[in-house]
Amino acid sequence: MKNLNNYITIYIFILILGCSRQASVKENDVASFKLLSKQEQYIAGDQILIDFDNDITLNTYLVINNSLGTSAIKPIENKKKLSFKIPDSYAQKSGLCHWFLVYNSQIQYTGVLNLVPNSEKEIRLESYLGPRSLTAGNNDYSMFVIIPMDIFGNPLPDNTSIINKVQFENDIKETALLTKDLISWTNIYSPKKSGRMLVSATSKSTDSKEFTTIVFPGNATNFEISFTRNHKFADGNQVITFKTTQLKDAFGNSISDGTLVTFIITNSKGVKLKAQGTTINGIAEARLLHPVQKEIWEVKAFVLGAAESQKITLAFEASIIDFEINTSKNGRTITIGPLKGFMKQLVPDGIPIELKVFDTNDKEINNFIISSIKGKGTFLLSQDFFPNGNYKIVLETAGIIKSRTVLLK
Amino acid sequence: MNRNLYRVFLVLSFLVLNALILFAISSVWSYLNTGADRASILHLQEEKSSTYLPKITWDISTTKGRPIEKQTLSEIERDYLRAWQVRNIAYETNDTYGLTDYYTDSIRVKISKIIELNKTNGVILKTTTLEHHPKLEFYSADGKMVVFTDHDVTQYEEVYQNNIQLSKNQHTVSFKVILLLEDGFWRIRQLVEIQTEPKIIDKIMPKKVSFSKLKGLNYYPQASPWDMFGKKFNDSIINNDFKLISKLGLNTIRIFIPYEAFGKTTLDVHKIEKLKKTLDLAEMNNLKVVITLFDFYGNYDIKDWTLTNHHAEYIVSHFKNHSALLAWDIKNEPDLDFESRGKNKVLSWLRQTIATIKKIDPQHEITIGWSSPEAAINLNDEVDFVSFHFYKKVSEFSEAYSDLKKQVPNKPLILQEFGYSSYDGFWNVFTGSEEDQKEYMDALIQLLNTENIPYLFWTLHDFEEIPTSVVGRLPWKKAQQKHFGILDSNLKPKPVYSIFKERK
Repeated sequence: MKNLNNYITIYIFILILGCSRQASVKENDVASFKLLSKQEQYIAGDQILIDFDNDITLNTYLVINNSLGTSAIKPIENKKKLSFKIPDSYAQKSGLCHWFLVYNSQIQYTGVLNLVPNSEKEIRLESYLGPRSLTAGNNDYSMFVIIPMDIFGNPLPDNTSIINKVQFENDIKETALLTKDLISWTNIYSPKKSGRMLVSATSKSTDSKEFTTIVFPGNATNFEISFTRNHKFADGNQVITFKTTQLKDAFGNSISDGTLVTFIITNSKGVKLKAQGTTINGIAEARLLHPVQKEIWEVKAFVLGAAESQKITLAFEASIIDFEINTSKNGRTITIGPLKGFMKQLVPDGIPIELKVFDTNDKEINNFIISSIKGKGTFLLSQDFFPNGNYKIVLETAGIIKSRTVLLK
Repeated sequence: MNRNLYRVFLVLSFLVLNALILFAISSVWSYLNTGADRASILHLQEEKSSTYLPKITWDISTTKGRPIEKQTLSEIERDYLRAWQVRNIAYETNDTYGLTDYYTDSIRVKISKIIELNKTNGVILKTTTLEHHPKLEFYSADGKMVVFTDHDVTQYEEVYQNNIQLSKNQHTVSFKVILLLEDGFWRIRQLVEIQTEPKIIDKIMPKKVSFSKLKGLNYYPQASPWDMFGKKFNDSIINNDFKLISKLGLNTIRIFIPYEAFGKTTLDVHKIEKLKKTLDLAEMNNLKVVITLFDFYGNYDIKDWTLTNHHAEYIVSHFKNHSALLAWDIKNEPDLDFESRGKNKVLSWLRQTIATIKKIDPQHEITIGWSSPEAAINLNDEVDFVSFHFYKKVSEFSEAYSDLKKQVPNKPLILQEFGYSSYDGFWNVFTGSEEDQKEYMDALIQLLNTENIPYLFWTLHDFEEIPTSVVGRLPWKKAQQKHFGILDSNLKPKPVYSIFKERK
């Protein structure tokens, strides 16, 4: 029984202890705080202490908030004062920093600090240039954006002055800029000449890195073409070369290498032929085989969508003027040639020879195309396909047409 | 005999054994068929619902550098808001997950340091932003950088240290922001808080409701209680009901907008259409409507605030000019969630929702439908009039009312729900009756009339089905809830009906 009494006493004691603790917290609810540190302007990176003339450290917090986040910190030991040290992550960030003194979950005191960037020490320039390629001629521009920052990466206040430098060939231009809305920016227009342009900025003895913009020539303007060939005969063997004059943009810059130039050739039958070449140093070349028969070509070149040349006309004279036809006794072997060129030489292999076979009613039965070998061409009309009888044969090569009547046996 | 018994036992045990084996096989079979949906192998695109929808309004009228494209602006908006969202989550969990996608390296390092500091101090933040008003200052020629000033960002923040709330704070701040486009993400490069210019806003006072003659009821159609705007919506039934209500000399109804059924943040246009129809019908029958928002909503979490605001903004801005609208009721009986969700959490949510709706529709009065006169003291400064419900004995009413009146002397009080169930059956040992209902209602309404207290009673009809979400699963509660009408479920007037008939 005595034991039980003891227990009850202890229990009641604990109960009272528990209650009294609660009560003591309540009592302190009415503590008053007076702000001692009146400074509101700071430079980022300063040591910031916020002091109050009270020394209740239990359940007292300073809640601090800036653009990046919020934290709650406990006071530091400081005799007779309630002192809070703003952590570096807040003290180094420019802009507003709000604080709330919280005691027993009640906001007791609030304030705002204004932290300005630390522009006294070294500053940094963050810069962006784009686009990095331009076309010449004062129309196109790239934009240069500079963000001056202090050592902690805080952007410097508006109206910080910045010198923008642009180098092109022997010319170095400087422009003074002012920051607004954290940045300063300028448009750098392309010069009339193509080349490389270097851009940089300086602010308070800090220099940005160097940026390069390549100024490409503009679009080609109209140009002229010419041709070179070994001889004027249509031998189907030589190569004719078309060539442009140097292609230039409106400002006289030779247009970029690799620009595609298309030569369109119209022959005397109205058929269009095409040859292409890409420019090197503004000049494009294209090659084409000579025709095999007498031709007149009209040639015009284009840079698609941009420029064109004048029209030139050139003529090819026939290389083969005539040819002989020999038939065998049974008429079934037909030999053409020898084909002779403009110097009576045997023409190179590969001249096409066409044979058309008609029956007595002038109805085409068959046709064959072969290439000449060593100046000659031979057709064999097989008995299996061509029964004995009269036929008309028509032979064509190098634009010359000859016909015969043969009796196949 | 013995042998026969033995046989029976054998046969039976055989059957039982087989049954058990079959049951086991089927269990294994059904277990193997549970789990991930097979279609998930295909990694089809999941539909993502919005989780962060603060109100954002852009000003692009004075953009320098180059004009912004609509597409780019929406990408910037998306990434900028996500930057806020991942940061809010990072500070709540003290985990830097996701920051890399929305912050450039240098700023991410700074945020990580703060998170580290908070982690060591045991501090977490519950925070959200409700409004952004960015003004685009600059968009670079290569389309890779924007500078804007985010004016008047409404930020709400609760700071906890070892799970004890240190402070809660709503403030309006402005920022200068630089975003860079890096590998497809618009990332925050600079975020500097600037002085917010104080704004002078003309305070528009809401139109005063003339409460003295306000009499009405809480309305659900007979066939579709708690699902008024669902598939069973029928405008001719509602029209007939409204005609009857009007004939009974009543001038006001209270209807409910369920939060989830209306599509949460992506509002269901069909239901909005039905709501409009209902308001039109009310207007035709000279009835005013109190719209109760957020029915069946129960989260209140800070992370949810932008979503509920989005929902409210849509409905409120849609109907704020409807002449049948009398007032907005933020939520029905939110005090019932105090215990499960925390009183502070619920009150904070209510407070900010009131502010949000006030901003969109300053013309209409706002109230909260508290479940009892005792609970109605909460937030009485914030609401325009105080609504409370009363289901206790008539004799207790006067005292409860005068207590409330003493504590809230300057605002109109309205008895927003009261009624009596005429249920008479097994669950209340056949003690109820329709006469009791008439007696109760008669007594209370006389009291209300002498005190000149505006009222809305519960309800027009008896209902046949009560959804479980209303009063729970218990059959005796459901049975009670079915019989509060002044018409029975066959639309025949109950004795209580005569009270209103006489007042015609």
